[in-house]
Amino acid sequence: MNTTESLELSFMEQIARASAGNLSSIEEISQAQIIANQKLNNANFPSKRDEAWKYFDFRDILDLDFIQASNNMPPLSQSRISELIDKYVFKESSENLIVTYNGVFSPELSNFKSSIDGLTITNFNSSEELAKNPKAHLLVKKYFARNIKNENNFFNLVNTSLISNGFLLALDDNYQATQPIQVLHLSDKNEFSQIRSLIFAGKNSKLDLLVTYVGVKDAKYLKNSVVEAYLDAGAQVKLQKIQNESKQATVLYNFYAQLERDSKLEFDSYSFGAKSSRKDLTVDIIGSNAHADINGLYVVNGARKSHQKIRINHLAPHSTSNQMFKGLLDDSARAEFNGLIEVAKGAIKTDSTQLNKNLLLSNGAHIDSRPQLNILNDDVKCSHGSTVGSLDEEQLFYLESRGLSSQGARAILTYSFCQELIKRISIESARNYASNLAFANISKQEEGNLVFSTLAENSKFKRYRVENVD
Amino acid sequence: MTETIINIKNLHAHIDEDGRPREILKGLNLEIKAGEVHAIMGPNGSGKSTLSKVLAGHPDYEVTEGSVEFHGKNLLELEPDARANSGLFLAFQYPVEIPGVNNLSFLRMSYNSKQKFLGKEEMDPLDFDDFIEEKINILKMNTSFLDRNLNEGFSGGEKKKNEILQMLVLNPSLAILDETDSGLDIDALRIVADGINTYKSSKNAVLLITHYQRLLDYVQPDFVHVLAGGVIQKTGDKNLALELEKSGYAVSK
Repeated sequence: MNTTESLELSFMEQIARASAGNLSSIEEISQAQIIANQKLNNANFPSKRDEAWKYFDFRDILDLDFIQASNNMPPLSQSRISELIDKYVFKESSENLIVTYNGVFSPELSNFKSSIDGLTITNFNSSEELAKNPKAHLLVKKYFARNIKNENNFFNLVNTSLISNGFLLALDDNYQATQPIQVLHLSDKNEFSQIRSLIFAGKNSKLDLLVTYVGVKDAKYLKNSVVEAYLDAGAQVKLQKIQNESKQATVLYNFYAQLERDSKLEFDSYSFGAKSSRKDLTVDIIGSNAHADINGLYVVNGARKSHQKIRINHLAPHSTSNQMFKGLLDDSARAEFNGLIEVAKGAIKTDSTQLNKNLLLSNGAHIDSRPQLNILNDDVKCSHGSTVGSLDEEQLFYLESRGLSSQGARAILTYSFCQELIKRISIESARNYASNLAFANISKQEEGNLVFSTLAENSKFKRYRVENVD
Repeated sequence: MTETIINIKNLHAHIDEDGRPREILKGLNLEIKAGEVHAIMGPNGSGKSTLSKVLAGHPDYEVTEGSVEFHGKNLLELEPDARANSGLFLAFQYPVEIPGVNNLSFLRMSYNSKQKFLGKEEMDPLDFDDFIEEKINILKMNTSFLDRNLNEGFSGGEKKKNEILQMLVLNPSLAILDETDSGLDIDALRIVADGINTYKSSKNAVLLITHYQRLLDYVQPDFVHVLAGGVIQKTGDKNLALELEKSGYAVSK
């Protein structure tokens, strides 16, 4: 047996051991866990031979120590808490904050009003909490790991098997959240953690959710996150995810969304951190006239890697989806875009677009881009494509002819490339945060920093000018 | 004695076309002094835009012979940003769109690049706001223009006005305007001409590259040159432009 095989075996064994004593006290969750365990018993550790994992480097998982996250919150000093909150919480969402610490949902670190009519935030794996909230219990029963029988993603199964807790965020019918809610996932320990969240948006409800993943510098963890989002008829959910994990960490994100008729999902993903990150996004559009906007920006440098695997299933007629993924790669970074749009039989009048644009700032950077369509139906409109390029020479010359140095001009154009997606972020301090992270990944020059700060400070300045007009 | 701003001698330049060099400028001579307005006219493909790009330092063009002195210094050894910061400005025929980059921030960065180059103090956002408002009024532009992204989604006329705004901000000693008048309606043309006339002084110079005489009704040239076949074929005063308008470029032969 070679080293890789023995590491894989050891990984599998440790999962089996950890899962053995981990059955939930909530019946519906434990049922899903039993199915997940059975599937894992019959499964092999994923390999590059699987089409879905073709470009993934498993050493980034196997080389990390595997320790199941402890369910007990380590004691945190008050000053440490406020320090972390000050640093990573956006002022616009400080009153609507959900925090997980090393994978564990922490109501103590969170800051939200639990008594708002129409909005439920609770630990879905606590019989105590669910006993207090029958509505929440019903949702967990109906939706938790709803697709487990068809789930074949190895790490999604591992997550289901090993979770200890997580939060349910549920909106009643017609509840329209007026403030953005922030979810802060904070990690600082070298361990294997499972994060799980379940989002339910009732009929005609509205939610603006900002999910930030933050890891302290140099922490070597393996994070395995699963988010399930169910949008009932007419619901509108905006979910924006900003990933700033430790650059030593490996992170796996599974995101699943199901869209009922007339619902609208906007999912924007911004990836900056992690040694290796992988997103598996699946959107099932099961109701007519539903719309999904799925976008992503990945900025990687050094020898880091970023993988995005997207699957949009149009299962109902008259539904639309748009995808725009942009990659900015420097040094010897590698990235993968693997996007599939599938239009099922009967899903007539589907309108779907998919575009992947990549900007390579160095000859050593590498991108594998595979936009794919699978249309089983006539009477649809679908387009897809991908581009790989370097900075535009005419744009560079234009900026230099205005006195900007070559470095400064390059900084402006990379900023410009990212802004198309960053500008979508709904709150200003999160936009600035994302801009900062994008820039920290690519700027090696003082000149670049100067350009960036000038461009970033403009939003503040604009307000000043408007005020003074009156 | 009036200062010579730029002195171009026997300028030869080529562009790479499918791996083969094609010579476009074939020994061009031109001297421009402070306070002068020069117009260059000429048929399509004669090298007018090439001249402007070579002077601004476009990387696609290679100078093979000749010299260009700008304020007595060798212009050709400077990078494009150093040329700009030394006082050379090119208003592009086709201004480039830079999405996501705020126009006002860009203008201030550009202005401050020059200040820094000249060892002068950089301007802070508040002072720059007053400074830019004065310039933008000359061009009868709305201040909302500043909040938009650099040329992104601008109409042809707006792009050209934005070039002139940049010129007013940077206040160069030599402004080369490459077909700034093309694509402008008569009102926009007047506004652009007002901008040029506000800018021009006894200390700087303007080089207008144009196909049409109409801009010259508003901005009076001291010299009109006909550029054809990569060299200046003929030089005259503003009447030459009128003559060309009437009879075409045959007069220069």
